Amino acid sequence: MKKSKIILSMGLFVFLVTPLFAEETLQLNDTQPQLVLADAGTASDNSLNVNDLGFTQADLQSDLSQKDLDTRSDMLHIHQILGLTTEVSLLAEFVVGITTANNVENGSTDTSLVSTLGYTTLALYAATASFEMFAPKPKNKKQTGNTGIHVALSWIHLPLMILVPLTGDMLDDRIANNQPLGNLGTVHGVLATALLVTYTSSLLVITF
Amino acid sequence: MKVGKIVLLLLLLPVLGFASELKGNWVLDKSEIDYKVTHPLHHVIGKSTEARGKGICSAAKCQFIVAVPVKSFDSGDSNRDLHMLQITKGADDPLIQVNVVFPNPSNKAIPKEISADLEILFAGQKVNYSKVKLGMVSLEPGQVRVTAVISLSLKAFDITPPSLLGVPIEDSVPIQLDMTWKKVGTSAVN
Repeated sequence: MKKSKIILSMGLFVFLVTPLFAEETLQLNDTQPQLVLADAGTASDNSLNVNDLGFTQADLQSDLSQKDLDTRSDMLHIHQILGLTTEVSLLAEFVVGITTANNVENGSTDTSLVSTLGYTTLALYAATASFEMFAPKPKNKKQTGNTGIHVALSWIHLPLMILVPLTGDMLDDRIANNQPLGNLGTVHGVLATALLVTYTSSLLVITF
Repeated sequence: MKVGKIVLLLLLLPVLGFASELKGNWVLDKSEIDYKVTHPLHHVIGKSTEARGKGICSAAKCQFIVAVPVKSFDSGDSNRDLHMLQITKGADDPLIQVNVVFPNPSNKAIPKEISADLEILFAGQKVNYSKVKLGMVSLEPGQVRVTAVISLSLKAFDITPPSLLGVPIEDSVPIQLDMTWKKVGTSAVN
């Protein structure tokens, strides 16, 4: 009975004394140097340092420098503005093209407005494309998401942007020389419609 | 004698069995960190699973560090990710670093929720967030799942919000954290 009392007393002693030691631990910890959270150059035995996390240079190094990223962003911003301007020009060209086609059917030979607008659109398109082509880009990086669709659509509207003015120029020549137009007017119209649709789509898929 | 042993066992149980399950060294096992960008025309979610972290819990307090490379976030659009890298100055400051401090609720099992003080280093700026709620679930002994949502202000980090059609995204960007931490030992813990 005495032994059990001793054990019981010891147990009680441990139970009561433990919080005191816990308190002491708390005090010891508080007096330790505080963790320098954002200073990568500081390390103590018990501190946490971002350098200890095992990131390699490859994990952290960007494919483009900050300067290149800024240049790219600026160039793509101009690409966006020019792209929207090209869209307006393209829409105007499309409407004027339909009107001119009706006028030509009624005997008119004046195609100067549609020609001028066509060359303006072509020049704007070339400028828009150049700001994307010459913008710094990361090497071997696959373009994903809407950007991927935007780029894929460019492979359709780029040749169309060459073919539409070409067929338009051929039509101009035939109209000016009073030659039969054949199916060229229809071909030009179909190509111009495809150009407008693909170009507008490539514009709509892009967000920020 | 028997009664004495039982009483002793009962008295020592809290000290031996449940003395702060958080106490020890921790390492981030796996994680998913998402950011959500809101624009009147659309929402974007970017994810990263490449965060790394370590933590030390003493009897008094817990200190954790989590870092994630800015370039590791994938929003599903390569150009948007590059734009995000540019506006957050990710080439110069490639890491988002989060330092977490909270008092260790000693002599208790892992709590369901704790309030922590966070220091976030991002885009070359340091911003403190106090009393951020962190949800905790004990998955198995020595493994804890931590979840949290931190609403970052782009202005606070001096980040110019990107815009679409002249309308910028919302300044508040919620960051959702889902992390599984694994205990790796207690040798370096006071």
